[in-house]
Amino acid sequence: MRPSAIISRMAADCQPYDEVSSDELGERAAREMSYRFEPADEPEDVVITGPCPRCQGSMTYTWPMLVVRQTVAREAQDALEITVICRCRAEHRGADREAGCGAYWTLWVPRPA
Amino acid sequence: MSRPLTGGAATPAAREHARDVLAASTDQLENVRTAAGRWQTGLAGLSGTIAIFGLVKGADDVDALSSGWAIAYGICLAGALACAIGGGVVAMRSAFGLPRVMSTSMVAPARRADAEEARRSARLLHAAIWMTVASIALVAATLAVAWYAPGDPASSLRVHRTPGTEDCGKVVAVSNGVLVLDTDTGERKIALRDVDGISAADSCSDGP
Repeated sequence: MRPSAIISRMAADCQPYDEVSSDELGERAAREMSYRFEPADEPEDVVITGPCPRCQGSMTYTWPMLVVRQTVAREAQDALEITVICRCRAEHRGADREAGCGAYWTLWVPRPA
Repeated sequence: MSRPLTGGAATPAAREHARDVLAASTDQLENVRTAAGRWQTGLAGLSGTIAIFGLVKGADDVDALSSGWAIAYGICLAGALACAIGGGVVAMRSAFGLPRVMSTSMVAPARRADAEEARRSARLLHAAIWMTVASIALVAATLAVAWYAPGDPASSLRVHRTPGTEDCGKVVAVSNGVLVLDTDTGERKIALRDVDGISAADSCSDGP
């Protein structure tokens, strides 16, 4: 295992599972995480990568831009509002089959051109 | 890779919504195929129901109706058909839902979406019931017109005679070489040997 992965896993192990959210987590995620649209020409997903702002475990979060649902909708917004849930692969105490450390936050990314 | 515009806290409801969206993106193919299978069965049944309308009355029988009643017959039958199709489709929409592709940002939270869908389905169910009742009523009206509406009255004849005159009226009898015609001025007896030609006339009031 690479040293960076060991450090990441140690950091993650320090945090018990807890479903928490705060502005601080969201702001930190906006500074440290990155996103890209896939595929780039006709985006179907927003792929967000980087360290979880709470447990520092590296994670990849795929948010679909299109989904098949019933005909119920709400007003579209100017920017994509994405609720990100920690999906790091580290084990967290009390997770009970849930992935990640339990933290969640909101990221706003511009709509693809 | 790019940095997000900004970040912030999320609510537990937003978290549940995100989990719902992620689950929907995983299950959507199976859900669409399940809905498609139900719609297929429903539409096949609807097609079979529509075929029954062909048994209400044949086109030959409609020809015997006077033009006004034939129009009423057509309107009733077309209305019944439209109500049957509309009622069937609306009932299926209420029962099976109608999946469609939408932007994730427009997906309402699951609880609100379920509540709205329940209200919409209830409204559609009521509409389907009334459309079906209207369809049955219109079928009954169609049958009533077909069975009890007066037939097309006998056509008038315009009889051209050799001296160059003509008479117009309905045929009463033809016997012993004599044609009895009911005209506006009373019955007229015309010897067939004097008849130069006969033509049908919708009305005797108009000229030839």
